[in-house]
Amino acid sequence: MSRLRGYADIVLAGNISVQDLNALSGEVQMRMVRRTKEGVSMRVDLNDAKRLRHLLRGRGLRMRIIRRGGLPFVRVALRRSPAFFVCLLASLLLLWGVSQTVLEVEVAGISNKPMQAQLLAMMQEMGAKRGALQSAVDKRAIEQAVLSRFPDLTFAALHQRGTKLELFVKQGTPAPQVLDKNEPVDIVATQPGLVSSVTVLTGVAQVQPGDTVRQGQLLVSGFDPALGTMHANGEVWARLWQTGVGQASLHEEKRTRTGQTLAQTTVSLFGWEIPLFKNENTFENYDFERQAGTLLGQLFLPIRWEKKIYYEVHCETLERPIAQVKRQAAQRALGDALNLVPSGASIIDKTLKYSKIRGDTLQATIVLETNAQIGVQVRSR
Amino acid sequence: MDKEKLARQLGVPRSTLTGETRLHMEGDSRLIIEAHQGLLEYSPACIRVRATGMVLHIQGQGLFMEALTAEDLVVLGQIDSLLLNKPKGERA
Repeated sequence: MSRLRGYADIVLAGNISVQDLNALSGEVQMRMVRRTKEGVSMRVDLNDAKRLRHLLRGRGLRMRIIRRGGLPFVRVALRRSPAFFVCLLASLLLLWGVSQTVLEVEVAGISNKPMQAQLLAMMQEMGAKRGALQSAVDKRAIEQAVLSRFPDLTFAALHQRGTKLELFVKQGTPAPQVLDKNEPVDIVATQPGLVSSVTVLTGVAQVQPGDTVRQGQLLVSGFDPALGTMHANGEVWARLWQTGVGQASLHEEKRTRTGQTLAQTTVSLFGWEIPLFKNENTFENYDFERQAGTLLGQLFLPIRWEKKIYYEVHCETLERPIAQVKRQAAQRALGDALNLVPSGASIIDKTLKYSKIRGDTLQATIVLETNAQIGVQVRSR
Repeated sequence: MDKEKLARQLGVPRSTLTGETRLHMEGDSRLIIEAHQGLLEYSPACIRVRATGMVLHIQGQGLFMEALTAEDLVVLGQIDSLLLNKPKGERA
């Protein structure tokens, strides 16, 4: 605390006794009290040094100040050095200036890489690019332009995070085709199958139960030679077959951590990676963990850090119970087949077969027989 | 109520209520004395301090006082011995 308020190193010259020290200790705080040839040296606060002169009257002691120090004297020294303040001010201005510019532009919310590139190019055309002043970027105009140029997108928002501009977009769900009920339409097959039932409300049936149809084939026509064109309506159900394949390993690898770890830390700025405390990974088998983040929330500069942690593991190959392997392969095959089953379909039958492939893998093949409505209305050509 | 008993019941150190001198020693080079009652002697080889009901006799080499106030004293230096004497009738 004395360094903030300022201190004085003094010497009390004369025949100073412990009674004098006791009396003075009640008035001032004394530090680094030592016996010297002259008397006693000590360090006191600046304010206490001023009071000591009065306290020493009548005791036959003289006070001599050897040196003064602390923050008050640092300020005085700095006042004599204007260059320091000029450089400090210049540094602060530079830092503030950098924080007002755009150093990074990013698109989030979609995984489509070509569309991301198109959005970034568009933002660059409109002034949202590295080096631009943040105040000069018209965020609302960019958001509106994105929505009008990309009709697939239903939401766009441009955020400023420190020196980074982030465009967040959201793709919409396409609306279903709406057909006018007076418009001439046909009913065609959405996928191949074996017709099991045909129910026609309007139109002329082109297939009957037992027929094999292919995808796109006309099922119910919207044209009657006697009546002309009409809006075909009805349902055509067919039996479909979906095949799913699933695999499971007959062996499993048991990984046990030995307790040995190794960390590699890197800092990146504008694509430059600077390794810090880099240790070479010499583990034969390891688990890997990655941690990453930004410094100061990218307030001034887009500095990112990344830490890779390697955990040494001991690997052991064990044989799995065959029942467990079969169950896993069958579940995966069923999941694969169910992805192909159309919505609204009912499963009539399933067939499951196993085979061994590559010596250490069991493959399950499942065939699902389903009954589904395969007709869909399309505009008559 | 006895202060010592009260301190025990309140769960606070006894010396906070009784005002007794407290000693805290760090290794053999730093001694903190709280609630002392005055210096009796000071030299680089010997420091005597009045405490509650006794006199502390600190002997060593290069002894100096890092801090000295009306109540607290911090002694630094090579401390060779620390004696607690209970003399009668000695005053600072």
